[in-house]
Amino acid sequence: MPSIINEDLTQPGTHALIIGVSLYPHIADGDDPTPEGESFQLEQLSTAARSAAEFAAWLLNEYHSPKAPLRSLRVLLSPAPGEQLNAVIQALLPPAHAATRSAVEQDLVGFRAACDSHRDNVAIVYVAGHGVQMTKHGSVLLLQDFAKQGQLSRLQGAIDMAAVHAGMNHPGTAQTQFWFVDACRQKPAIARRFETLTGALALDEPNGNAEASPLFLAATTGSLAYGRLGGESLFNEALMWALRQAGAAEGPGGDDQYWRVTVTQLIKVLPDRVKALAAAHGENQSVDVAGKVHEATLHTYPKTPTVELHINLNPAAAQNKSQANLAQGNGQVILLNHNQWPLVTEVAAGLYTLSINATVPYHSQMTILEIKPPQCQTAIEML
Amino acid sequence: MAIKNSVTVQLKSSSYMLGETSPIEIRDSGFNLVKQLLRGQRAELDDGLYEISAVLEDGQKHRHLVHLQGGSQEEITLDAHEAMQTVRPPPQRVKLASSPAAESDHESILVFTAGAASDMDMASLDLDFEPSSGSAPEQGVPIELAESHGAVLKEKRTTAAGDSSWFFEPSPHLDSVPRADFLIQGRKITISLPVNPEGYYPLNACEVVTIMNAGALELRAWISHERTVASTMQHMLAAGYILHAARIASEAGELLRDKYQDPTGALLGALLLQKIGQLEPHRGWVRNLASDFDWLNDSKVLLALLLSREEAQQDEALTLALRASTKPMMFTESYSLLLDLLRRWPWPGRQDERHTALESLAMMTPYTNWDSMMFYQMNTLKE
Repeated sequence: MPSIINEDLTQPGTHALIIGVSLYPHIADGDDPTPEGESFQLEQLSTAARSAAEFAAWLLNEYHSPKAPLRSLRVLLSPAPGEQLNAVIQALLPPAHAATRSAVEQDLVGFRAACDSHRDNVAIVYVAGHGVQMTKHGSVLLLQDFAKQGQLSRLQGAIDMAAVHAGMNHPGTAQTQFWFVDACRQKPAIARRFETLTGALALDEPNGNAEASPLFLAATTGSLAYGRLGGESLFNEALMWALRQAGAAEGPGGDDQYWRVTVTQLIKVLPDRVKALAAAHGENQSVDVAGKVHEATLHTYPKTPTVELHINLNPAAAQNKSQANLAQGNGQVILLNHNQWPLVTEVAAGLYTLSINATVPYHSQMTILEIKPPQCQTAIEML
Repeated sequence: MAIKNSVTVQLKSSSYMLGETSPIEIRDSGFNLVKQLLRGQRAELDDGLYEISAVLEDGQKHRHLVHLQGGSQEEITLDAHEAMQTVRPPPQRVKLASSPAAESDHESILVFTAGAASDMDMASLDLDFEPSSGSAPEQGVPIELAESHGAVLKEKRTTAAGDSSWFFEPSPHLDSVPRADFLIQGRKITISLPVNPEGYYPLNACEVVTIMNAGALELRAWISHERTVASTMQHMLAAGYILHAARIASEAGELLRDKYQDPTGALLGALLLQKIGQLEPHRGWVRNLASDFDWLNDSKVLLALLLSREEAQQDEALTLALRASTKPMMFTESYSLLLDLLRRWPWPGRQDERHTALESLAMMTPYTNWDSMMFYQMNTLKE
């Protein structure tokens, strides 16, 4: 399937490949189960395609990279019956958009050609679905036609993400790459059956490396990561938080004049966010970082991110004896003589001075607030 | 013309090398990166609010917020030592509710003014500092050291809260990676011990501590703080600062490679360089590590990985990989690399040997704790 936006290879840009598979017709609870598919004890997923579509929508509508604007977007989705996809992406999808082996192979050829067009290109890959992750470095994504009758090998309906990553990680293609693999880690008894990975879709591995090609592998032993009806996977939720809500954003630096999300920030923030979200659902999910780790910027923000600021005063008795002045670092006053507590407002990220003028028995205070996205909550003890 | 303020930043570090080479960032009130310094260097800054930060040897970003005005001249010290007594990067480092200090654990606020004194009290505000001890074992759960191999227990410490830690040093003669067996609630945990056979206590030691991970009591093994460079790399890696850790590995060449003061630290450095795609230039070092420290099994994996890329070296590479498959690993990363290397072996031949090795390694996979940096196996004991 070609790009769902007009592909432009005349100048450097970002090229993306998105695959999301929730529908597996040939496993036990599918429409067309096979003995091979039944033997894996897998279940249909409900949010993998939706999660992938959500990431595609973010790329289409919010992704900002002045040096490498989005110039192609290939999307293959196999949603489960009733699975709601992002409407914008849904509208752009052609009738044949299922994530089967042949479709993925075809898209991979186009995606690779697009990435090879300029070394200054950026490649972004996001895949979601059932997977088999047996190590910290590799993962196999099962495609819609996994375990279909008559296939030559067990993994014919699968894509070996580590091998495809290795095939793209060379000096002759997009030198900045980001790979996100959002796949369940199967139970050991199942995983052991994929020992050799023979038959899974892979690429030849050229010599050398791209400059940056980090591979973020989400893996969970549980099924709940994909089981939240109407939602996205936990990994997707964490990634969208990092990008949309600027949870992984840092201030301008290096060659970037904008706030940005870098490899370092993603490595720092994403695993913790996923782990925390999973823990809140009684799951244990980790994120492994493989590939070639090098600093690079995934996303920039055209405007300074805003932050929801929430400040309380303790003890409560101090609140009707205190007024706040909030000023930006450049001296511009944001709030003057504010006396509503808690103080709740939205401000641009930055360093601020907060002055609290208090009457007896409390003392006035001044402090510096470091306000970073997406939220800033703090309490001040009045003395 | 406004008078510039002057700031000099000092880093307190146990290591001269770390103190001299750790980059210090200065960001203005919009979080724009305005200066990068090294220890002792001076920055001339306009009036305003600034964040001064560095990632230090505890693997945490330490920050000072300062308000400079009227030509003030200040010296700021970033110090990891106090926190080193108690703080370790825990498995869950970020809370769901983001905060202004979400990416940092250590922060202090200073307001420096020259000229007229402010009539307000200067406040120091802890912006959501969360002590990240990561050590919160369930009360009353007995943890017993059953046995150790290649290492001896030097000391066991128990805090008033009942948290225990075990300090190991290496046995005089090592023939494989040192490890210890612990019994916890009907489970046997075997964890590799990152000791150093080249030094005296505590320069040869490691510490095993308990943590809670996704609701389960687990163990983690840490290089002793006294092995400054190796400990710093481990803490930075654990905290998600892979590139910072790799920079240390790159800059600590003499310490890690030539003098062999700490082969386990050298191995960790090599793994970090491998992660950022910079190990190939150090092939000679890896070869020496593999030949001089036969017990340090992981070095064979790294050498095999490097040699496997060349057809002429494939036989030696596979021999190394097969040998490595028969003994325990120090780091989980090496185990993962070995599995992937054997599974995706790029050359034909010796298939039976690879298959046997893979089968043997795969037997351990279900019991491997992938969240642990040190190789970690957990078995349920039979009744």
